[in-house]
Amino acid sequence: MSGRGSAWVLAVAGLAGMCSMILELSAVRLIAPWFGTSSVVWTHVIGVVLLALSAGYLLGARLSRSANPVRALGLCLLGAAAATGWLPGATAPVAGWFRPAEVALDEAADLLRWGSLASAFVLFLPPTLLLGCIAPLATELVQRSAERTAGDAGGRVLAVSTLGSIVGTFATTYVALPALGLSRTFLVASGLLAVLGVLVVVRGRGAAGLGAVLLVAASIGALAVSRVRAPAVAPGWKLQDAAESAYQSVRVVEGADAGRAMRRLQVNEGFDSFQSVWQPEPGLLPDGYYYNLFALPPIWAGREGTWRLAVLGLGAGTTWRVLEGALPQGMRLEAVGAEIDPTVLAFGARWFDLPHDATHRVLAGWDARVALDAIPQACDQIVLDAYANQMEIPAHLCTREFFRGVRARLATGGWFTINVGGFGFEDPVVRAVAATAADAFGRRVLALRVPFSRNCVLCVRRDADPPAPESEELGRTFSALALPGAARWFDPGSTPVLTDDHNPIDALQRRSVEEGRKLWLGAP
Amino acid sequence: MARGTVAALAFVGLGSLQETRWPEAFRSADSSRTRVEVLYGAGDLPGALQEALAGLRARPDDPVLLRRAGQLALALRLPDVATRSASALGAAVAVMPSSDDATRAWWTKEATALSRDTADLEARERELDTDVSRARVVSLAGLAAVLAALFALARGR
Repeated sequence: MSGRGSAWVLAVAGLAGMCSMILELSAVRLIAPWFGTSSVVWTHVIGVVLLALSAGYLLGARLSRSANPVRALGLCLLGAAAATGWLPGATAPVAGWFRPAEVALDEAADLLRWGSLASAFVLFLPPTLLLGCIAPLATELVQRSAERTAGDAGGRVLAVSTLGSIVGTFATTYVALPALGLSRTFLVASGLLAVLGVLVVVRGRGAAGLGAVLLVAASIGALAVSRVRAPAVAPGWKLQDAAESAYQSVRVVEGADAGRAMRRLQVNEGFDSFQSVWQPEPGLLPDGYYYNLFALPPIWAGREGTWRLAVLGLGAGTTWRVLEGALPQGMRLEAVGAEIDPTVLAFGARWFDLPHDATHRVLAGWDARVALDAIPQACDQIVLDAYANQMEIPAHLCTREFFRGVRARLATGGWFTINVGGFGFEDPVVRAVAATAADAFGRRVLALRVPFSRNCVLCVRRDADPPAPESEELGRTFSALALPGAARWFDPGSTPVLTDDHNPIDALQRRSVEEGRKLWLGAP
Repeated sequence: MARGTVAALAFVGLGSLQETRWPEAFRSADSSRTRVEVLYGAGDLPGALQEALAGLRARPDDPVLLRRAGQLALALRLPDVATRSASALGAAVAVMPSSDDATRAWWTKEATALSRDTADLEARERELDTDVSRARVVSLAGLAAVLAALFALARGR
């Protein structure tokens, strides 16, 4: 084989590298509806992929010593094609076997850990193991070409496969998933591997063999029928729209809650959560929706004029809509909102009456922390609603430095309100976020329990304190807050304080879910 | 939401409660039931359960508190508490004075329903344990298989 003749091997290595990154990056998205996208899930998927690649490298090394390494390469490509192609169709039964439907978050701590790991093993080990075989086989073939040393051959293969991986990384996030969706992304990768496999087997000049024929048939079968099946919509709710964004799976469901027509925007569909809600009339939602507590500061302010509101984590605009309908007479909203996922905003405009006009400014594609620099100075209220769920609080959005940045954007007396999920005020996540806000503002934080919910809303003001829970001011607007256990203060000096340098929020979130129901009984 | 909560308070006859925290009248042991209902109506299910359990420490066979504690434990998916409450309610109903047959029949029906729902919750918990065990076995088996393969491949010539 000449140096020129090894070019096709390098091309195969590059394309296989690309497909392996497509698989790896899309893998978490595939199981996200069952297990979420927390750091635990990423760790398990990456761990299994690396383990499989490691075994694949050794298996490839063994196969490279066979009589016909070209044929072995072709069969590995065909095997990887078949295993990749069946992933979309296999995920629902496999993940559903390890995590049944209708399991609440606080029940699922062990299932999240072991279920995501087991699903990763069953689903992602076979294709990545076979893809791991490609590099050593390719190295062997390149080395056998004109006068290459092992180091030279290995270096060339590693270089092109890494370049392929880079292409796969960017193509997956920016092109494949948003344009093709999850199923077709896997099927395109599978189809590409299958075509490469057939070409390589043919080039190997041996008989195709029963194995190759079966693998080609399996790949074709996958292309025909293997499709992602998201978890079913809850009984009584109807799916209205769905899409794959660059960040997540997004869907809109419609039904009724407390006798009112309601739409919910769900992302990654996991557990019992929703990202935004809509009802026909703006204003307060039924009991149990934390958005209602965001309306307290303008009600307590009791003045006329403009209420300058910034929402970090706008979603489909529920907070705007709740406040629009709940503002006191004579007060009007001037709102800005940052949302990282443009697809969520598009769904917001289509299904949730999300306005985009002179008094409602949308920062599309902005991370909440970066968006701080773009929101107006002297806001009356900044709402942070970017904590996806209990397992997925972004670390950079719960630190002293970030909260200090928020404080700098508030008017004197302005309000910072945070939605955070937890099992009561002793929940480790609630305590940490509240303590961090108290430290950053140098003021007391008032934590309010959301009725009929597992959420709390934290309130802190710039250079002022919120009204006391037992005060007439608070009890007048929201009587349930006057009850014992409905509110709690966190003073400056509370711990732990989370910082950019040291932020154990992942560990706190795991502890929260593991201890959750014990906390409900009042046990520390 | 405020309207809903006020409605809940009105439902249990405590519409004026928002004026204060626990009024003097609700601080006595006799008011455990009322406090539980207020917290339940206001949406503080964990608080209502804690209040019910506190009341049961003083009056362990109070059927109203036992029933509510059982229902709350079911809603919060706390099988141990639900089971204890259901058994205690069954025992309390069995020795309940039978001056009013209809009342006794109602309590018997409630105790039976609570026992049935508790059994369902326990079955669900067992299913979850099975699911976790299955996932653990598959994970550890997968890990062991790959490590064994790595070892075998690394040693092979």
